[in-house]
Amino acid sequence: MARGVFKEYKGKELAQALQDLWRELLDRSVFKAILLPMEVEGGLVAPGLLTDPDRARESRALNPYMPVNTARVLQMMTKTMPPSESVAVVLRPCEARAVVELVKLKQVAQANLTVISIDCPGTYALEEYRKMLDGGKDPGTLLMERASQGDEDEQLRESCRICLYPRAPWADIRIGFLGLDYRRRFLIEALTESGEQVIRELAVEVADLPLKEREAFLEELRAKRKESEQRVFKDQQEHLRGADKLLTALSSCIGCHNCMTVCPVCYCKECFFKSPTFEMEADRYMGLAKKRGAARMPSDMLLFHVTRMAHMATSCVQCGMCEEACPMEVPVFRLFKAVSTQVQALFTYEPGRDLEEEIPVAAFREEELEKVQEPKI
Amino acid sequence: MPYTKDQAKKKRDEEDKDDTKIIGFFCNWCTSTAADLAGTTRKEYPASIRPIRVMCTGTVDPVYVLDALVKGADGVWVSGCDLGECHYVNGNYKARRRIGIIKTILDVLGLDSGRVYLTWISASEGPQFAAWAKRITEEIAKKGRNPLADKLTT
Repeated sequence: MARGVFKEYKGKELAQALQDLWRELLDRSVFKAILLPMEVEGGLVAPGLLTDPDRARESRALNPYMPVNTARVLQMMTKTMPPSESVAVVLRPCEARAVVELVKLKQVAQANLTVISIDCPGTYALEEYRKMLDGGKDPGTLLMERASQGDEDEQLRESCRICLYPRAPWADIRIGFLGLDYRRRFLIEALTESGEQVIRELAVEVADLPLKEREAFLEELRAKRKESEQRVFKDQQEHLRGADKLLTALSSCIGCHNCMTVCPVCYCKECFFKSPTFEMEADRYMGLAKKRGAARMPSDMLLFHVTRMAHMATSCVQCGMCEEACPMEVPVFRLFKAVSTQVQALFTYEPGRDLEEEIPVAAFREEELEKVQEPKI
Repeated sequence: MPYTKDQAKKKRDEEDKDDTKIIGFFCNWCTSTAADLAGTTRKEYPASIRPIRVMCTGTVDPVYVLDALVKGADGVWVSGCDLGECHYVNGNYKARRRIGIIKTILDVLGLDSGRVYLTWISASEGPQFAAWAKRITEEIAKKGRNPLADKLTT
């Protein structure tokens, strides 16, 4: 059972119906601005802060391309001071989950912010997305047709093909179309009190809705994705595990730190690896080299990746932005996916599930992790 | 007179031979005091331990442990007050979570989490400190050198 409404739309496309929704929300002054994917110059999609209802036509909430994790944008936007007027943000599930983590880490301020998550069948890498656009296809509609038939597109980004969250676990409002008759209607679901308030301001009554078919559809999709996920884990264990294989995988890394820059949950305001700790005198490098006879420069490549894991594996939402941003084809996503899944399992923690759930590194239990420590003698 | 290349290598090999290196992060209040006690009561323990005194195991950022391993230490030993007895109330519980994360990462990446030890040794347990120092040194010596020690990439 879910609290919400169905929005019917006859003779329109879903994309258009969503644009109408954004327009209405701005027209009625429910929100003064909506941060959502918009078509930018040249036809690609990027997050845009929409204030004029008439420009809602330029929004592209369904386009299966994700240039950045929008949680990063929100972090930047609310860092100095949260908005003084009400703002909504339309997010994919991995973005909404990252926002939950950043709120917990006090990096996103929730004041005046309404999180609207939208079902996501997956996204394409830039190259693939461009190819589809150049071929005159509408990638959004095509993907939607496939997805509604339970058909998985092998061209989707790997992180999307094995994503277990086509629907966000938390948001104020969830917009759903997977497992529903998306040609006729979509679902607006309220998960919080403020979410329900927003729906009421659209002059519709919120009701209890049975969603058996949708649940079954999502469950089946999750099971399928879980199988693909296991294959990726197996591949990591076979090809990326052990000192030699790991270093081979990282061998092309140029230390550009792109993976860190785009990571939505790499939360430190100032990265340790950009701090004076790593501004070393030449003699320290000499010492490092003398110890082993020769040392790769710049140093601390492996250290950077494993430390990043230690810092953010508990909150990793597995959006795969790190690998999209990597210019050197380092399999960062596979490594982080495998590591973060195990680290999160250690604390039975699911990032993005619940704002109340404590971040593992900020909490502890007296009785836990017996295996980590040695026994008393 | 500077060493020739061969002499330098030979010297390095000699120094390194059988020289298991274990970096210890010991808390000021308990394990460091226990180490002192082991010394003053003339308990013998291997010289493989390179102790670093920290105020609390809770201050040991994962990067210190990982840096030691990546730079070629054969083992890392973190030790603090008994659970429930932390001088800062709960620093050692937090340390346990961090070491749990580190060990999981090392396991998944195949970098041998068995090279990381976490013990609780109180200030009065000098003999236990010496016993752990022996046991950890033996176990790590059995594993052999850290495979990351001679890699080009750090």
